[in-house]
Amino acid sequence: MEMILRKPLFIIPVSALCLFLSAAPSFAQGMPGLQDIGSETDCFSCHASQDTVKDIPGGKKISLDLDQGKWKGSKHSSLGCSACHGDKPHPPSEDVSTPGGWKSFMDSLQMGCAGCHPDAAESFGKSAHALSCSPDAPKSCTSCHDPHEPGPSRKTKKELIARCSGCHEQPTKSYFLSVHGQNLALGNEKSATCFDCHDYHGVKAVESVSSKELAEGCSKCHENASAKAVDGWFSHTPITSVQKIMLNLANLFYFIVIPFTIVGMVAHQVMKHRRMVEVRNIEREGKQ
Amino acid sequence: MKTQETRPVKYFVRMTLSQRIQHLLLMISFILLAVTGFALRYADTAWAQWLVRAMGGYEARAHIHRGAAGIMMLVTLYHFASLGVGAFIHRRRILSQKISSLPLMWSMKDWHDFKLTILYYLGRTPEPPKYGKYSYVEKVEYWSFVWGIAVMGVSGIILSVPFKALEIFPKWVVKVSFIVHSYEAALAVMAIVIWHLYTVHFAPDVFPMNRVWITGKISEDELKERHPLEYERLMQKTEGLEGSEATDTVPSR
Repeated sequence: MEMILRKPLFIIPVSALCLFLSAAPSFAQGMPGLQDIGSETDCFSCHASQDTVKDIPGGKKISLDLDQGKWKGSKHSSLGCSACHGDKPHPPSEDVSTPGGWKSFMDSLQMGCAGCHPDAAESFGKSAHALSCSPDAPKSCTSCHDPHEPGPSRKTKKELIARCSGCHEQPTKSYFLSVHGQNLALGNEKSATCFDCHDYHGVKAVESVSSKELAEGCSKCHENASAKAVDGWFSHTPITSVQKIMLNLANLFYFIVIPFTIVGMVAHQVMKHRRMVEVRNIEREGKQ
Repeated sequence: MKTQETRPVKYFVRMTLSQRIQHLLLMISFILLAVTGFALRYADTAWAQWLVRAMGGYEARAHIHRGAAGIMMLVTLYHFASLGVGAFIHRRRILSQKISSLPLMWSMKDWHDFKLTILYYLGRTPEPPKYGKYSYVEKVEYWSFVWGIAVMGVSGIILSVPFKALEIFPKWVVKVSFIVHSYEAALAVMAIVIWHLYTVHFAPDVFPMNRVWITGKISEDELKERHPLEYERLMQKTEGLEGSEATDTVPSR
């Protein structure tokens, strides 16, 4: 049973990795190279208008251009480029499109995220994402976050969910059909979404969120939420056969009743209308 | 009966004041429920988001929906309570006749009326059948509403107290309520437009509108044409007994 439950979470498409890394710096050969980095302005003299797109592992492409507007909105902008990219931003080069080359580029970063965000890094380490054996699972901060963009606190829940939906397409779709998803679409930022049940950095798989934890999340808004109520609740999790039968019956009932009723009613009214118009015309002719 | 024809236009009560108020409240609450409900169902569309902003946000939308549902349920309860009281007062007379002969109950006559009406619509017979106080069209309308409010009421109450429902019932009950509530709503709106609005607004005999829901009155000619059996019954009654019972259609001033 546990295995069955576990499976769907790990079906994560390749698209994840580096989806949000839209603006990593170049380190290709023939670049300004090993020279020391100057001011931020120097970086932007190239990294705003290069129109260069690089292939990276996973079949993805990244642009070397950085949106300066977004960068200014990021708290990281106060640190400057070199805080992370170091003094030698264009390391000696292997091809970034190979996994080895990509890794050597990532290793060349002067400072990782954990230096400033130890809590996030720690809980990420215990997350379902970090522990996953799937090659497609997001393994680094940049899988979800773009450090060159404004942080999560300045984003709406809808924008934040976009990080999840890249890989978890089906659950996101069904989420937007739920009452929470619908209310979020209408602008209710209190409405529960992915991380309200699955946690943020320490992403939890469906089966490892206990009923008690789930109820605690619900009770932030719903006073009478109890573990008993949410135990066995299914939302975008696999359902039992009884549940499946009941849902299918409800759907089937309306799939039959709605067309039958509507076609019947329309046919009746069309027949009535034709006859009444006909009778009226005959009466008019009679009068003339 | 012969003397009636020489008189100026005579009207009969078709809907009492109480019935007209019930109808008005149902109409208002139905429209509010449909608008606020579908705005949630299609929350991802621009029109729904615009509509919800216009009505004062997602919270206002939820309050309006629940408020309108409350009105609709109260009207329904009042309706059945008053029917119950009426039935109790007239229990002797009601028990002395067949249940199927009560005005809104189904009988084999409705089935025959339906077949004859279709034949008439198809031009196979020269005249439509003679309907009683309520034709099968009105009975379909009434019983569809009874079915609709039962389904929408029960599923809606479950959805409005999800955690209580999850504790009491199996989990699928809440999910099924969610599915049923939106399908049934779609069915109700389509049925109201196709069946009700056509019959009372767009049909050539009433276009642009049958005014009974406002005035409560129906003219002698219309009653004779649309509900001939009811007309005959009333005429016999006024000839036989002077004065009649309040729950029936009676000649008005």
